[in-house]
Amino acid sequence: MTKRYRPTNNVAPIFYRCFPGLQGTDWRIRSPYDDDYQCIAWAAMHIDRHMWPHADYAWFPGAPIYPGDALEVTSDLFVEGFSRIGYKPIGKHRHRWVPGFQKLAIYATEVGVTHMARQRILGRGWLSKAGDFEDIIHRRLEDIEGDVSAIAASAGSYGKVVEILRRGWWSAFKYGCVARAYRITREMRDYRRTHKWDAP
Amino acid sequence: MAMDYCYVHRNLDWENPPAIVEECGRLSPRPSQSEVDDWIFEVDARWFGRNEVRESAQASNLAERFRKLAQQWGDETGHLSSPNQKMLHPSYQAILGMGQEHREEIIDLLLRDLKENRRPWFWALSYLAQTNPITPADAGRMDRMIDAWVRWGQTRKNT
Repeated sequence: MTKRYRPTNNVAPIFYRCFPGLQGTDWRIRSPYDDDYQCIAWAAMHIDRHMWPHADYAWFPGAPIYPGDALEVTSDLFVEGFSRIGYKPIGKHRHRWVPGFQKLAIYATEVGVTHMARQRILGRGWLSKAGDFEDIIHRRLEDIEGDVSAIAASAGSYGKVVEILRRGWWSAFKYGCVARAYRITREMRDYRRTHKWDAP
Repeated sequence: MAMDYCYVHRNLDWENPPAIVEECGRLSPRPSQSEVDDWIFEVDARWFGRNEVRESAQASNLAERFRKLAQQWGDETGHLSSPNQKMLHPSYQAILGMGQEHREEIIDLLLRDLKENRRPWFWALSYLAQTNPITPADAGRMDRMIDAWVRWGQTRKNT
């Protein structure tokens, strides 16, 4: 795994500029800079592709994609896509950790879906891959939220959480995500050891 | 019909401007576009404090303008995952606008930047080139998507 490593001291100001809500909270960097995958792929436990419901990007086989000339990408497409690996929508308020379930959060602005975060396995925070940047653990979903207006979206805001998806651990086994999660977690742990990772 | 222009002197004293009639008493040759631009940017900088407008416009070289916009776009959208949201950024729109006037040059610059800096210009290239060399098997794989476009660029150059 030969990825570009950036020390936390260099990355933190960038994250604070993008997500003012992170300031003063307990957040950590968990992987190096990597433009081979983004948050949607990270939510689906892939680190080798960019996923988006569009013909130019990887997406779940058979799931609907949006027409290329549409500007707004609704969360329905993501709900439909992630239902292919066992996730079901449960509203936007049920983000608390429940034993036996894995949860995802979909963020959106007025112009459509912008981001997805995945709950950690024991519920201690959420995992977010910020575009091409490092992936981070943040304590609460609100930490990376922003304004939902179209102007804010063009300035880089993630907007608000609009939907929580949930699946049982059995579904995770069934769709092969657990083995992949174990392999990826081990790869990243090895990376942090070999590069004298300065993240706590 | 040839038109004569009343050219306002560049070293005009802004606080105590001379009478217009006096200034227009002699007809100057039509000012060049760069002189007009300089004058507008001087007004911008002096009255509105918009120095950055002058700086960006001074980069008259297309490649230099592209480089600045691309750098800004990369810096300000690196944390975004949505290609739609990245496309909304003003710098991206500005580059698409430049592509309307200088299509071939902008396609070359986009391809070079894609190869050297791995900035994802896929949709801008599709829009300007009116084609898409990315196959379903390559979709979403950054390296393969870049290779597909670079190969397309080489073929285009050869033909």
